[in-house]
Amino acid sequence: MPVLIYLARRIVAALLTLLLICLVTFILMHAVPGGPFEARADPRLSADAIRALETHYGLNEPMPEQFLGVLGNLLRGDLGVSFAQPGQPVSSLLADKLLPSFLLGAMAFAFVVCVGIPLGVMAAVKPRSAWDVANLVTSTVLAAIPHFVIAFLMLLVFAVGLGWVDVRLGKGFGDTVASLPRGILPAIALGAPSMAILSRLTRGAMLEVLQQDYVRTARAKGLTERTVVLRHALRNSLVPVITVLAPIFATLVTGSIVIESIFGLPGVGAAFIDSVRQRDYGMIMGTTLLYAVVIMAANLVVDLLYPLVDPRIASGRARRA
Amino acid sequence: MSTWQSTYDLWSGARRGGIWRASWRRFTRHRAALISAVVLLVLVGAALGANVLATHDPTTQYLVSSAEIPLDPLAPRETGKFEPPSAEHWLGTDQLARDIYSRTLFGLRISLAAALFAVVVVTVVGVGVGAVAASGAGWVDGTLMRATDLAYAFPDLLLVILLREALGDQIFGRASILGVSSSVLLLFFAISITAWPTMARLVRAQMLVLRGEEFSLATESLGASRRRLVTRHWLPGVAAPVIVEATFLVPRAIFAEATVSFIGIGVAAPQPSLGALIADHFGFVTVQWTALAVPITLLIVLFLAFQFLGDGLRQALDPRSSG
Repeated sequence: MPVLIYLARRIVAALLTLLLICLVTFILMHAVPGGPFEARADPRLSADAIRALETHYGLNEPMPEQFLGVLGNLLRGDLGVSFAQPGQPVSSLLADKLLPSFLLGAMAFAFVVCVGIPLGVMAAVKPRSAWDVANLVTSTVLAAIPHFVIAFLMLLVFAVGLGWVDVRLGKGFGDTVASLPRGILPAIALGAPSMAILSRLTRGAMLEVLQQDYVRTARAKGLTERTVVLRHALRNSLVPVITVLAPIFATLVTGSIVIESIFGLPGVGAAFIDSVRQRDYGMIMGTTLLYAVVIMAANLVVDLLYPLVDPRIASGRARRA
Repeated sequence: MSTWQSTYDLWSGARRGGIWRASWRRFTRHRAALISAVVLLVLVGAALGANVLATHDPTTQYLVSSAEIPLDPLAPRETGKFEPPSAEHWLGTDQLARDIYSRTLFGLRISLAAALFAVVVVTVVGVGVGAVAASGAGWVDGTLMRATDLAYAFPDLLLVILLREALGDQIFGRASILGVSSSVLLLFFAISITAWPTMARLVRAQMLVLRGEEFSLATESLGASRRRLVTRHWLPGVAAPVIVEATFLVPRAIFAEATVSFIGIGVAAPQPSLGALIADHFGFVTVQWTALAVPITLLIVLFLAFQFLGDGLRQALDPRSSG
């Protein structure tokens, strides 16, 4: 099974990268001046108490030993306990924070795919039409606006101007199924620039495919334009599109920090900044590793999808083989 | 246009002053790129001349004490905040009674200067590492690929936040370079750390292509050293894609700065940057919209202009395009 060997090799490479990320994060977070237990963090702490806490959590040990300790725990699937919220395991805290971020990213991704690809296809079917030009202008402008500006304009229009939604729209998002619609506006804001880029890319790929001989053959056979586009051209034009889907997914899931803070969503972003400020080592490490896993998994999924979309590409060979 | 004809173009261009003149001719035919170049020249000029063009100091508060003590003890004693645009303050004043026009000019200067700094760092490091990887030993190449894997998998924003907090004032101290404070440089330094692997991979890939070309073999068999091959033949060969990539990097660096400033860990107050200006004035948009609209517009114009410029350069610098 060449696919399995390929998969195994990729996973080993991913684990190596993860180890490096772990090391870099460890070095960086210990380079942040100060520790988690300081009079600055809690004035009630006496010098003795701080020393006792640091000894308890092994923060007095030499750095290499601490790093090996962290690694050992990670291998057992243990992310440790949070220092800022004493006694709470990092994994359960992260799970709470991660769910809203992940849901938001998934909703944004759905928006990007379901709107971006059809828009691109429609623009390619009638190139240089008014529709195509309008699409070009909108997507160029959308890609040129930072997503937090889009989010902000949305709040201005829908919350301040029209009063349809609350300003703290994202509050409680992800707690219940009923709270999911609260994520629609944030998801659109988060996804808009990626959607614009995807629709341009789809248009370009589609235009190229539509000029190929086999499409002319399909048309000459008397097939309807609809069949030609949807059944013959679409699949081939999606090959370059799929290559960017994984990075887009990773960007959306891991890039929602700003959107979360604008809409008041309870997510990983704010939690990460807090944990850096509080020197909450376990939380910092947990967040970084989880995000890295999301990014690498997304890349792996795309590489596995290639052969399904384009049978000429066999797994294990270079992308552009 | 056919290959033969564009080759002819290149050749005739070469006769009339070389490949750069031919590129320049192609560039001037790309109208959007030309307009963008003019717009960018104006903006860079405005940023460079911020000292002269600004009507006020960007960080001074121009509070105006009211002449009489108001009857209501709770009424503000000092005004000068949220002044509408006037002859004195062209774009009005913000919530701290600072001149928005002057702040925006200096914000533009800081954003542009720092983005250029980031792009220079990325280009130097990326080209250096890429060239070494493409021409050097296998282990160098392997190490580079691991490093780029690492940089790709590391969540960008998290890395920037971590670097920003970890390095703090340690690297550059509190000094300022050319009027740009160290906190800004640090931020862009962090941004370039996340961006160099893309450049390195690009240079490596392009150089590997050149390495396989026949002229490389010919040069080598004429006895040229590896060093001469790299500096005289391969580096000029990758110049065009590097210039294009660097152009696209500028607005991305500005965006990244804006994003990080927006979540409050970017440029230290009271220094303005486009991102800090947007973040600063977010809450007051209903009171003083110019303070927000101007930096956002500048951000968008900068992004589009660099994008078009990059497109134009890509076409102009490609000798195969007839554009």
